[in-house]
Amino acid sequence: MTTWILFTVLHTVSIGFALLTLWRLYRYIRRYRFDESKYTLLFGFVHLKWIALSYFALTGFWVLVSFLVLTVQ
Amino acid sequence: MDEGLINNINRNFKGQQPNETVHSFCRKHWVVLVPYFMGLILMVGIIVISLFSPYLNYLKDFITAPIYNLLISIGIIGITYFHHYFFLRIFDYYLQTFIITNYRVVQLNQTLYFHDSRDSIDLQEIQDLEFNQDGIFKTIFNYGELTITISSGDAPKTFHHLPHPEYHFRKINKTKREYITVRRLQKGLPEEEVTV
Repeated sequence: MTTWILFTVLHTVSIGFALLTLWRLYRYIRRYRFDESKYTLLFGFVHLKWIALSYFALTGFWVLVSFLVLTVQ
Repeated sequence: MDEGLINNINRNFKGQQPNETVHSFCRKHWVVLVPYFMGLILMVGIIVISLFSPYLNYLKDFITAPIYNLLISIGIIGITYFHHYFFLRIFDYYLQTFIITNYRVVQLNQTLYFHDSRDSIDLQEIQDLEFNQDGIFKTIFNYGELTITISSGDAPKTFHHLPHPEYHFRKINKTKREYITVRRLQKGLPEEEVTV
């Protein structure tokens, strides 16, 4: 039971933190923007919005995976 | 509205002055992110092992259930922490920018949380410029250091892990020549060849 309470609290905080981070990030890049090119992007092609999308998706995915880990154990 | 004025729509970075235009910008070389990517590979490995390895079941035979649950919980907390840490480092990588404008060289050391600083050097203060690309990795991956000596006598400022340092070296020199030419013309002085 304690493990599940910990799981719920942890992932609530985790998702909240991810949303806050993305909000702060988008607030900043909407205000200050550069014309990106292959010379400025990570590895020459990775856009910041792709990273932001992966962050959001992987945060959700990790909730599912950790749920699976706790369920199968 | 005067088109030369900067507003929140056409501003490129915090602290940009009116009529200041960005000539070039870059971020640090991706090599600075290698330790975080190695950590990511390790984390994915741990997750895969914990999901599919039969050894976890054997572990149950040796330790009590509460301790086993505690270990699993610590693992989940640790991976959740690293997950956020990794992405924050990537976002910070995007925010930390080296910029050459028509007035100055600016380094933004911004992070999403708790840190915001800017170093800037006016083009007219630049006394000497030097780029350094020592070593096999720096040569292969084309990154290095750019050191700017300032005429005011302050300590030289070094920008580390800069991609294409030779390009930025030439760009700063060119921008400084243009800047000094404009200043001389504004003061009514004749154009003069300037070398840095």
